[in-house]
Amino acid sequence: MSPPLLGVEGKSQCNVSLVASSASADCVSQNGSGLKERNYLGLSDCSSVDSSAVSKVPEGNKSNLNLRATELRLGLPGSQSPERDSDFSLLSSAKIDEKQLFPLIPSKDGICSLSQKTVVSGNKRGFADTVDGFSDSKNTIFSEGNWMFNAAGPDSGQPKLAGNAGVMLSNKSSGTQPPIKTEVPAKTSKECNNTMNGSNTNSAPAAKAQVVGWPPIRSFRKNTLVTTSKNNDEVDGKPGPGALFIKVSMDGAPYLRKVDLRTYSSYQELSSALEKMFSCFTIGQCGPQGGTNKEMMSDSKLRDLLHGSEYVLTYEDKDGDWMLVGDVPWEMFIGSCKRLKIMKGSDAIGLDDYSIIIPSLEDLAHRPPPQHACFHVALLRAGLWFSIAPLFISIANRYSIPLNQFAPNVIRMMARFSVLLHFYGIEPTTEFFYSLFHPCSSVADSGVFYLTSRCPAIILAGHPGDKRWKDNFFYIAPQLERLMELAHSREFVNRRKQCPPSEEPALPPPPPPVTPQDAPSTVLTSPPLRSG
Amino acid sequence: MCLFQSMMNYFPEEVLEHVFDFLTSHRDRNAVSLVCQSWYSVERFSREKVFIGNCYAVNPERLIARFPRIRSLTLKGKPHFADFNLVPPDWGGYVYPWIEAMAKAGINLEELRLKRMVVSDDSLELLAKSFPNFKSLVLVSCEGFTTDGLAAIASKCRLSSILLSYAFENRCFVAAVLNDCALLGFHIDDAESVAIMSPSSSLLSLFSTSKATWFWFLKELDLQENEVDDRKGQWLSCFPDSCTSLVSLNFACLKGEVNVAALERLVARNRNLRSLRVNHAVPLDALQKILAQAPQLNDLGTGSFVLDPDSETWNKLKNVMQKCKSVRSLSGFLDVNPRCLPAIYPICTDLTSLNLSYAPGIYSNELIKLIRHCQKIERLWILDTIGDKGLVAVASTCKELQELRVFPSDLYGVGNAAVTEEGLVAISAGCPKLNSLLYFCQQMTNAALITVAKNCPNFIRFRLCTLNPTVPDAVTNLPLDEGFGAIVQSCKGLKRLSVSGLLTDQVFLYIGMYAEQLEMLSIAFAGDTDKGMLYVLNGCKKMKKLEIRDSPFGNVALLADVGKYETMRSLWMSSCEVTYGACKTLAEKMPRLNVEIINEGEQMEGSPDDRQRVEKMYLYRTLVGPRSDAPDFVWTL
Repeated sequence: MSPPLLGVEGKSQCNVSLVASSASADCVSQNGSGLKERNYLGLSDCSSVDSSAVSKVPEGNKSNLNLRATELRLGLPGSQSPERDSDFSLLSSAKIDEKQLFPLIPSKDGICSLSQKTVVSGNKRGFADTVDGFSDSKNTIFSEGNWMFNAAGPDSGQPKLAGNAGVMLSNKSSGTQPPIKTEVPAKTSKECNNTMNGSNTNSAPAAKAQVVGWPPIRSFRKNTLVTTSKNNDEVDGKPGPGALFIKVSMDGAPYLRKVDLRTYSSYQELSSALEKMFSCFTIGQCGPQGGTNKEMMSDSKLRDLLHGSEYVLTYEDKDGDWMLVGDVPWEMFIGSCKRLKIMKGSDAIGLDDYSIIIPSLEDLAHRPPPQHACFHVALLRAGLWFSIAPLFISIANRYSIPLNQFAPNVIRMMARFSVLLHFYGIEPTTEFFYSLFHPCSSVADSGVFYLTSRCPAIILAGHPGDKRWKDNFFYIAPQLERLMELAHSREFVNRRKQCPPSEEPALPPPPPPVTPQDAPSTVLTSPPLRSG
Repeated sequence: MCLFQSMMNYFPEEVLEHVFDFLTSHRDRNAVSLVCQSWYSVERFSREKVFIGNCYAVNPERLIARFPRIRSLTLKGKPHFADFNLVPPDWGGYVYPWIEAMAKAGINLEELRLKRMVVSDDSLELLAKSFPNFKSLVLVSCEGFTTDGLAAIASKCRLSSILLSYAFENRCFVAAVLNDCALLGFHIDDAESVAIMSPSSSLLSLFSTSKATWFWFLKELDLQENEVDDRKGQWLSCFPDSCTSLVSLNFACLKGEVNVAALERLVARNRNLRSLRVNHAVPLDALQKILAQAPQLNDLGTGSFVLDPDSETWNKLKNVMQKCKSVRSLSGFLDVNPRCLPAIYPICTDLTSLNLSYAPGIYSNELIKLIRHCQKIERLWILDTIGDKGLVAVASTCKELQELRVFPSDLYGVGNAAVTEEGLVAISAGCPKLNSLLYFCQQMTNAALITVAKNCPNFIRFRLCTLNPTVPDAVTNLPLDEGFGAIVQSCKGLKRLSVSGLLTDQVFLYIGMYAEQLEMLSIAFAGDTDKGMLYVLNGCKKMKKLEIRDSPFGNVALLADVGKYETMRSLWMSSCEVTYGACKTLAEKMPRLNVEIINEGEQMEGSPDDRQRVEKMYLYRTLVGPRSDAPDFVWTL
């Protein structure tokens, strides 16, 4: 075997699999054993003890912090839409398999309908989710630095899959991504029970309102009032002489609100006020609930939504940077906050949960900083997403090769494989994939594996040959705090700052510069993307 | 008399027509058309405004045949209870066939007013391209369309404006265009307009017939409480730069963002704009700029009314408001900071109409301060956050009040902010001109109603809704029969009545006995036996619309006088005791009635038992038989 170029640190890899499998524990162990067996990890400090210790740290914190937020993970911050909740509770962890992976149905409606479908399809990411989520991450993570796009243009990767998506889908992010944890099944079903109980008990006192059409108020007025009455508290508040009105926008909400920051004295108050103010929108997405339930559910649900991973409260500071609310003392926040935005968790990626490090001169690809895994951007362009689809992991396990040592076009093959099969109504399975391709070590001992077709027909071909890897690789870590520790010892680029979300969601961000350098030729036959 | 009639018959038709022009009410014109053949004919050709209270009572073909010169049409669709979600969404009430028929017949439609109808974008597009003189579109509680449809309406003005400018620049060119549509397409570089143009033969004929009707003067676009699917389209910017004819623009019901800059420009160039109601996406600072351009407004609907009262904009707003001397009607405040209210004090003194019923953020004290300035108010719509105390203030200030609506702010009665009988009594004592009331309250007493009846005998519309539908007299725990009895007894002109609270058959006895002018009656959770409904049917000779829900009226009442229903527009009964068999019998006896059963959720199988209870029944008289667009769950018997 060739020496691994793309080594990953053991625990990071474990995290990856933990995160990505999100359903089956055996997946993790398989992956782990695969790693060990081959010893691609390349680092001496890779030990299971270590990894477990790491993963325990956040566990300890969960008493006062949101567990999901603190957990080590290498996925996009998962979000848990309510539909997903209920859906999820129906699926036992054992039942979740690749079947759920790409709930993609052949459709001419394009991505929009697809993403809606996938939202309700379970805890795994569908293709459409992938496209959206991926493009989001691309926009948000990478938009500040051109370094990624310098290396490859949108046409180079998978134009239909993500290249275009990054440009076009900024206003259509589904934003709902799967929960990314191994213990998710138990946890979410519990949550689900809680919320269901909550809504049940909550709806009981509203028995009076169960009479349809009484009191006889036009439904238009009813809807309007429900929306606006949420707003009472803070408009009614008595803004002091120095009222400080701040615009608040929310992803998916049709209009802005203004709040007077001076009327609040803590993050807590602000947060609950915003919850009330915007609950109608988040609840509106919850599903076809009756008016009463809608309102009643809002409290319990929204707390989940805002505090959980679905929505993240961010603010633009004096310098025009977007920061997470709560990271400075309240007074300082008041002094610097220019406006507020409630972002979809997926859009807020890069603000806290993830950091991306560009390798410095002395870095080695197979030695990423602790907690980080090393991936080639080509893998992203090729269709890899975080959290990693269980099918991908399963395929990687089948070949006993870590995902990040596959050549990008293998990822593309997997993505294309699953998309195509779903498109034609065939269930994509690991074995089927395995029966189509056999692995080859790439030439020149690069540590990269590619797949060749077992059958005479060429199914997929081409992957970028990249010599200037530092332009194209990045390290990714689940937690910023870890990075902060490293900050003193290493030169790193903190990508906390994000480009300000555009006011006009309809405007796609400018397309990244196209460099034909490593343009692979594969084109996915995915349904056409719809532009904004 | 006989002599008079024969003399009238000698009048030339032109004279008759001129005389008829002075008859504005539909009822008078209907009466005139029944006098004789020639009057019928004159009236028929001179009627320009038609009101159709039920779009299924007649079809568009009959309408056009009878009134070929119609210019203004008012149509109503779904039953009134559709407002309260009692009618399933796909029930019907589509306007498209009407627009289509009128377009085909070459009707020169100028005004269309729709209520509770389904208006698709296609309808709006067809409307936009079919009627060159169209001026006014009013949609109330309609649904089914999006901002795309509105954009079609707005951009119709663009088309005409292009034609207009061409017409002025180059008359020869326009003449050439008459015969060659393609030429037009070649010269006008606005592809969209040409696309609308080319397939439309009516537009071509329009060129040749009248030079004055080349372009639209849209005067009124009024959207009231419609459920509009907002596509975030820039529909406002579709109004062309040359569109200067707008008199009324109301889009308060739209939920999405609007292009504020486009709105500012639009208002700035429409100097005749009298009525402007914006939605809550228009912030106050933008409104301030708009108002600075349009001091001539009579009717203003603000959007969001939130501003920092220490800011520069605030001062500007106050100055601008002082210049808006002609504002008589104020509404909106969809999102309000009560501290901003003093800005409107300067215009309050002249206000005749104030609608704060969408402003839940203002409470009693601020409302009272505001009301103190509104001495000329005639129409007040408000939320019950005003409290009884606030109503007392209204009673002592607003001596001209004619119409009062108090809406609940807390739909489920959990909160405490609500008004009671005290407020109503105070109003009745202080506002002698009150003739129209809609009052949502927590509790009511007979004594209060009797006092109200004594104080205000002029009620035309009296609608009282207790939030708990069957609550008795708050003091005596008796039914509210006597109170409502007093109302119908003393208000001789009462046309519309809604009753609620605990009620027995007794109240219907009173209603049947005294409410001679009653045209519309809403009954909910009331009555004991069939007698109650019989009292009403036998008594109220002018009844047009009767709607009953959750009341124990059954077959006996329904079938007692089937001929009565032909004198009425419609009867709605839901959750009553009527059976399938009785509905069938009724339908057989009265072929000119459509008896529709709304069979939601497959309560009834293929051929149900005659004794099966009908959950929702809607019957109406019609000239055209069963409707063809009924969905599966609507059975016309």
